[in-house]
Amino acid sequence: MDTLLEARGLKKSYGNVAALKGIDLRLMSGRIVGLLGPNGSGKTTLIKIACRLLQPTEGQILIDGEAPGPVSKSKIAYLPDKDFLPDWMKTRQLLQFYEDFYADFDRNRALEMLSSLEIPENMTLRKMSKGTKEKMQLILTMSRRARIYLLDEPIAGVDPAARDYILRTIIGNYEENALVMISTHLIADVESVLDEAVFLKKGEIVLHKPTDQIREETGKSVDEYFREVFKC
Amino acid sequence: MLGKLLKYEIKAMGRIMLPIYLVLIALSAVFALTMRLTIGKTAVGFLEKFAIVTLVLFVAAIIAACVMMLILVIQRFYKHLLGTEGYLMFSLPVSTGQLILSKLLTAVLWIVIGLIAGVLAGFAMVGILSSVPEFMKEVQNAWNSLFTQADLTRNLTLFVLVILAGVIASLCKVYASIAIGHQFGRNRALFAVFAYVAIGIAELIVAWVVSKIDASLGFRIFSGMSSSGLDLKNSLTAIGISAIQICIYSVITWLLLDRRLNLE
Amino acid sequence: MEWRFKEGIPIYQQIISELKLRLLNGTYPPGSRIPAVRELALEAGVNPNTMQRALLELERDDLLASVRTSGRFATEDEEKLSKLRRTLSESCIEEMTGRLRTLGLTDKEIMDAVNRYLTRGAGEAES
Repeated sequence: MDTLLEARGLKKSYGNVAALKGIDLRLMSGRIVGLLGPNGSGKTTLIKIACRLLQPTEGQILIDGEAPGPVSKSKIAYLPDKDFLPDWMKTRQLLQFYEDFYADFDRNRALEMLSSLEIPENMTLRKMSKGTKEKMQLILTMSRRARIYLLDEPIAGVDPAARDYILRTIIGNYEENALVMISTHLIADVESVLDEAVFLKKGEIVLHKPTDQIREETGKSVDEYFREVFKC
Repeated sequence: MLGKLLKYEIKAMGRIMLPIYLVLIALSAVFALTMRLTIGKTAVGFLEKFAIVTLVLFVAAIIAACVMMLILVIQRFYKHLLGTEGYLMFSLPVSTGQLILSKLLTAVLWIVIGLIAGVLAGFAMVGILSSVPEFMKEVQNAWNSLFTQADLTRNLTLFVLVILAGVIASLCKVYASIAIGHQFGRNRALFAVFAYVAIGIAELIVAWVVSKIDASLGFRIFSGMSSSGLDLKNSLTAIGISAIQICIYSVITWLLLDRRLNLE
Repeated sequence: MEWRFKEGIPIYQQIISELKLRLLNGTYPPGSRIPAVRELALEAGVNPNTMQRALLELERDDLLASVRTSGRFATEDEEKLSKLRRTLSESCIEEMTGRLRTLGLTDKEIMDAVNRYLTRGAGEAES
């Protein structure tokens, strides 16, 4: 197992507001990790620093041993928590875009998933429903044979059927030795797919353990335990 | 990777600019044809009205093309690089320099195509309105009036270079302003405008200081910035000044986007 | 997701219980091929690593046999299976007896209740 993501003393402030207060974290290959915390706990900030969309105020983050840059970006399949694709593009053009820029993009895998959802190839993103658009983004991300998958709130605000579809797509498609990090505040929905849980509270990691260990030690589900830790 | 970025950027801008340019050329042709039909006719009330309408539309299309170009240059950078689409662009395995360069080169390309379209529209009008030999003479006259000096090629090249350098410098200035505005968490658009004005003021101050030191160079800086004199010395100065602007503004843009990017 | 998991018990243990049940109830008859890890993980809606862990545990207990390149197979060892059946039924009885005792039933009453239930159950099944 290799260390694929490592944060050392990572801090990030927005003006006077500290979003991350010194994160130390090591995540290994072959693991599905839940980055769990309520809204505003710093989940998105951490992921965005790993993708080099944000600059840390202090400390550093290493992706497969390297500082974020074009090389690390080629290894990360990132699913942002918002609509990030050009909405004038057709399905076909989006596939071409991903194929052009990512050497690890598996077109056949994407086509298979698209056909099972019956998304036409010449449909523009703008004409898709919100749910279809989200699935489209997920399909493009999960069709990469990446080393690291960073999925920011992939199941927020979707109905149970779509949630099942999304989780199945994730566990059915990630590369075997990849690291998958799923950020969410909906723990009950994801806990059965997680190897490890990282609890993030107000910019600090309060717990990082295998999920089965949490269940065994506390006699509770991760969700229950989470509620206890984050009780207001 | 730059090639691939360019491919998508050119497509994204062309989607909007190309139709406008085509309409421009079509309108000029329709106008010229209508005018030609009126020649030697007495009852031309309708045709004349139609011609006037097309002429108005033609002018409107030119204005639309300019405004649209300006909006697109800003939008492709402000919204599509530093907005939500930036999540896609900045996660691509490309360098920040390549991203900026793809925006710049594409904007230059579409501006140049626009200028060519404008010239073509002009030619189409004159060509249809007059007979062909007459038209060629017109072209000859146009050349001659533009370039009174003997060395036509040299002047034409200089002219194109001055324009090109000026266009690139202006684009870099816009990008730098947006990048500076991006540093301010809220009101990014407002601060970008402030930055643009501030840069303009800084340019004037520099020019003023230089003119105090060397009056003739100072004059050339002012004239180089506002017009493009075809005198060799003036042209080269103008190109030099643009080059300095390009260097400073692109370095600012690159530093801010590469070292201080904060996508929200 | 298809499989339901109880709170507070490691998921791989719950998967093991479910798989053991399937070995006995005919879902995976003796000698049959077990679906691949990822397929099973998808069905259960769990992490493939967790599924793998459960399958390895069953392999260690010789309830599954892994044949290189062709996959995993359910054991054909009758002795193993009947032992498993015995263990599982004993734990069921243990649980039931425990509960009934907390309701205040004596062991004799439990026996009677079970007998009554079985005769009535059989009678209902016939009619």
